Amino acid sequence: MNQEVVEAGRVNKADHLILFFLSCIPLLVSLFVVCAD
Amino acid sequence: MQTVTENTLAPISPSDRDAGFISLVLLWAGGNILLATFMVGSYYAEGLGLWPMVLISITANLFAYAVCAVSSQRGARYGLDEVVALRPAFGMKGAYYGAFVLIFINFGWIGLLSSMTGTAAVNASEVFLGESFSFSGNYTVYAVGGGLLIPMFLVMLTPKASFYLSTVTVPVLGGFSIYILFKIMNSEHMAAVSNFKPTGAVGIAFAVETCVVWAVAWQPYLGSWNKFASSERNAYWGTFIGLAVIGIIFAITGGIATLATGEIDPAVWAVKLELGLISMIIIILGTITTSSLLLYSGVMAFMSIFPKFNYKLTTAIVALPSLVFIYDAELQNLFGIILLFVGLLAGPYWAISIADYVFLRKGIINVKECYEEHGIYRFYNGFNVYAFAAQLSGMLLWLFLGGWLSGYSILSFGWGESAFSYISATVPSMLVAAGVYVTLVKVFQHRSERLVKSYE
Repeated sequence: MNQEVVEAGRVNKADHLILFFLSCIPLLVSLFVVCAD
Repeated sequence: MQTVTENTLAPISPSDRDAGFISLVLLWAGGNILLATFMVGSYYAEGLGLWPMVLISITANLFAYAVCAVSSQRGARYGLDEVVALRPAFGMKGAYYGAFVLIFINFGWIGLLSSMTGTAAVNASEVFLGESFSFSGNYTVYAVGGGLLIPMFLVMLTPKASFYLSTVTVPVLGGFSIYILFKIMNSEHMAAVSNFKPTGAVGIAFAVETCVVWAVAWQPYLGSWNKFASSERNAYWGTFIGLAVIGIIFAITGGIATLATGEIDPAVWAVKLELGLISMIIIILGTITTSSLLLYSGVMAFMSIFPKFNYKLTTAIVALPSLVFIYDAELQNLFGIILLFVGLLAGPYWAISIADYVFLRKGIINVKECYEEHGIYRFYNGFNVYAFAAQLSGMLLWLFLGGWLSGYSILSFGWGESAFSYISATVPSMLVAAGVYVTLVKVFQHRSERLVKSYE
């Protein structure tokens, strides 16, 4: 079994940051809106 | 005879990792195009009412599928199947747990999908083709044929069947799904939907729990397909976008249809809303695509425990037990049981594997050692006891918070049920399991030679 890693196109901090803003922030905002309603 | 790498658990070589971003988006979208995904929104629609249902369906699904994106990195980076990529966290034998969970969830899923296919195809064919088209044993033909036999033979033919299928089925079925949504929104039912008074029977936490558990149910399957990804980033975004877009559209459509008709079962509301023919196409094509995707992952899981079994024989072994559920399916009960099973057994387990890869190993796995029975991932007789201690902590918390969902009084705790309405069950149990695992490893790492070795 060789250690064959594809280094091109690795996920970096920018990807994680974009995902965070796409996922956690909308849920928090919507929970706030729905609960406040 | 030549052994095809994709028919074994060996890592996929970089030259064979050819699935690009679009292929992966279509693959994961195809996986999520199934009638049961409609039921996610239906499950909480009447409790929340229209707009909260729409808002939570969008945001909770985005949140839940983000976890899938993070988890998709291991398989894609090293070309490793999910059940192999679990070995660094749980040990060579500890990873069997994940394989068993996958295999048993698979029986339920494929049984559920086949059962829905049978019911929906019988309903739709009678409405659109007339009673005369009905024949003795038609349910069996539709359920066993569409849900079980066709996917089984396709997977036997080529493991990549789901990639080929999804390029055809997803554009067609995705288009139909959007059409269904617009048709319902432009129908006379919409006035009743807008004025629907929420029953309050279930709350926001229940809705978030349903979306999260549905996404967690995909965790065991991620590595089996993302190992074919041409890059880690393609797998990361392909998984997220493919699963989330369909998850959101289907949850909203299912939710609105339930508010319009009062029915949760898509096979029933599709006929009431005169969507029989389109729903029949979605059911049959969607089931074949999804069942093929699920089956291949199940085959890999089985072969991780019994590596000497023949690939085609294993496919039959993994597919055929689902027959039990085809004839014993109280649909909503089966859906509920699968969700419970996933939240309790899979949530904390995969949270630990993600924490191990991201926080402790910093994305570095020794591929060769993943296949060494007596190598560095052996830990204690094949099990990483710290991972299982953390798993136990997550499961206990889940039982405390969500045990009441089972309906058994022995698993119902008043304080836990009250806390559930604020924090749900699966997310906190995943966070606790991951946190306990990282803490245990940090504390004991320098006292245990086996742990030190595994992180070298």
